[in-house]
Amino acid sequence: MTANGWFQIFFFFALVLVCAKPLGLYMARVFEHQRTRADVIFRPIERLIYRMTGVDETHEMAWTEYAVVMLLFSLVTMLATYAIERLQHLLPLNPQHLAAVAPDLALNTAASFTTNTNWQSYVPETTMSYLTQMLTLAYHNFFSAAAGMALAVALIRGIARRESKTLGNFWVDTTRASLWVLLPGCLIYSLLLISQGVVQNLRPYDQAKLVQSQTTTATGADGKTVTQTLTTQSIAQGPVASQEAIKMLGTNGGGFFNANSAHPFENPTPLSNLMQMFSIFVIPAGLTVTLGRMTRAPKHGWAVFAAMATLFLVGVFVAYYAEAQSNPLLHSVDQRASLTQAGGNMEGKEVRFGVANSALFATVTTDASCGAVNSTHDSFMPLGGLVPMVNIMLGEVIFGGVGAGLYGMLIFVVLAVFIAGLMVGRTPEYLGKKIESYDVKMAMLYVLIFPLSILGFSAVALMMPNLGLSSLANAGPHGLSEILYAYTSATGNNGSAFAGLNANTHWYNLSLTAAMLIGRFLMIVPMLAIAGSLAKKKLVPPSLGTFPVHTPLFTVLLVGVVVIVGALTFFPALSLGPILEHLMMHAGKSF
Amino acid sequence: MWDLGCIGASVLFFLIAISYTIGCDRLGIKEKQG
Repeated sequence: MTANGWFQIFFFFALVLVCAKPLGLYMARVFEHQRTRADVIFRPIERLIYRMTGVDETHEMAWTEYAVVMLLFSLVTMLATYAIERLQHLLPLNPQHLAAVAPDLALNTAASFTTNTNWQSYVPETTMSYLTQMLTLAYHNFFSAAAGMALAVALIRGIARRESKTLGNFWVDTTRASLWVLLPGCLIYSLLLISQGVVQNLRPYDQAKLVQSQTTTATGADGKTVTQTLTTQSIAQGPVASQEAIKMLGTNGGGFFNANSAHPFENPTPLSNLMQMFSIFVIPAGLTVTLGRMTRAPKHGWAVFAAMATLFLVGVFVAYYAEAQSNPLLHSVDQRASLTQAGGNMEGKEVRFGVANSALFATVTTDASCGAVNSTHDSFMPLGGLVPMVNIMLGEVIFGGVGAGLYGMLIFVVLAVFIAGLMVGRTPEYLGKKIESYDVKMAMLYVLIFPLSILGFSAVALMMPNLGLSSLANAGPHGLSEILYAYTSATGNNGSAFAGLNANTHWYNLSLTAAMLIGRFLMIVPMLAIAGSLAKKKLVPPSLGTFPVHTPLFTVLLVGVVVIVGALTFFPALSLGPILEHLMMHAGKSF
Repeated sequence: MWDLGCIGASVLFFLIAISYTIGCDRLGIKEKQG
């Protein structure tokens, strides 16, 4: 580890900290329908949208209506995405004449982008036309993120309102999140990315003449080996900057190119890398301030921020420490940091980012439900690879996805308050609302669905040599990590891949589709049920038995609940994967 | 055939999710009455 590396990590965090408050207060004004400077531009557009779609913006929804509307909206947009993928060969903006996407892959991709996961079992530049990328995938990048913000705001309203049967209006919340927050943010951000060299065009791919011809061998579908001499290289182009902006700001993570944020056209410079990491965290961090403002408990918002920041800093320390170490199996190689090399484990990392910014990016992208990558997680040291996996397993509540991170953390807050109530023998209260048996049952439903999907699907994949194991590139604990990571990423709606696993098979496309849908929608429903239940409750005046939710003690308890729930559930699987691999690496064996 | 299966499975999942929503709501009503 170097001082320069730590400076860059703390500079990034300071940037997030400084911007969280103004953005959070702005978002609170947007969702409380208070005046903002942007109203001049967006209010007429908003009114036009409601007039065209027949939405009554004064209509308030009960939690069940909010949930059903969100589910139906997701179903319709998911099916539309599927249809466009299947018909892309007949549609315009396909200069490479790409074929229709295979049905299982089209379903996987439609579910992936609808759920804000952006898991990609395909190579984008050779599979998806410009129209598919711009019309369906970018559309989902906006609206899945906006839906996440709307859902978080619905939960905040549930906490803030008294004796109310409603949580707001899903259409209005989604529209305002898109117009007031995501759209202006992406417009500015796209231009900044273009200034750094991110491409933005609709041209066919460039053909570059190679200085030296290359001879390659490939095995065709008929099993015959063909030797080819290549004299030109195809360089993919496209409307990358505009996609990249919402990919990061909406914590989506699906790359325009297969190499994602390691590709020089997606993430060309250290400054663009900083902007990308910042844009992943800034809205989720701001939402903690929004929570404080809308519940009239700003200190509580900061206590939640502190819990998230603590978990983030521990994660980034472990990841950076692990990656800065030399690999003990490479005895004869100089792996020390010096003026001429970054040192440490540089396998799978871009030289322009180095170890610190690769470890930081991996931590940030998995703390949030982003899933963009600027390095290969599969090539991390075992403990370095453990960090992204654990981050997702904790429920991606460390700032988390846009909206999803906050509502996930608030479920843990309900559990923390409940546990604190049990400790002191009083009825648990959260910001003046009594936490009762129904709230805890729904919170436990939310918490249990997550490991059930991850561990259940992983177990089935591991039991089936022809379906689950045949896609693996590595044996032993590393192979287990690859399968476990895939289902963790899908259920957690993260979308990053550990690599080393060919997921474009019928089994993985279909089982990962199920994991993504379960991880998004079957967790949102109990969360909204808690919001609806809290909204109906009366406010109880604070008493001596009330557990304050703005103190350092609360932050420590919240961190403890998040870690214990995550660690207890997944520790056995992790001990057979990355932890065992770490121990065996020091015993001289690699996988 | 694949297309029908994919569309059918998607619709089925969301129908299950809506039923699950109704189930969670009914549990809440039941708890209140009990």
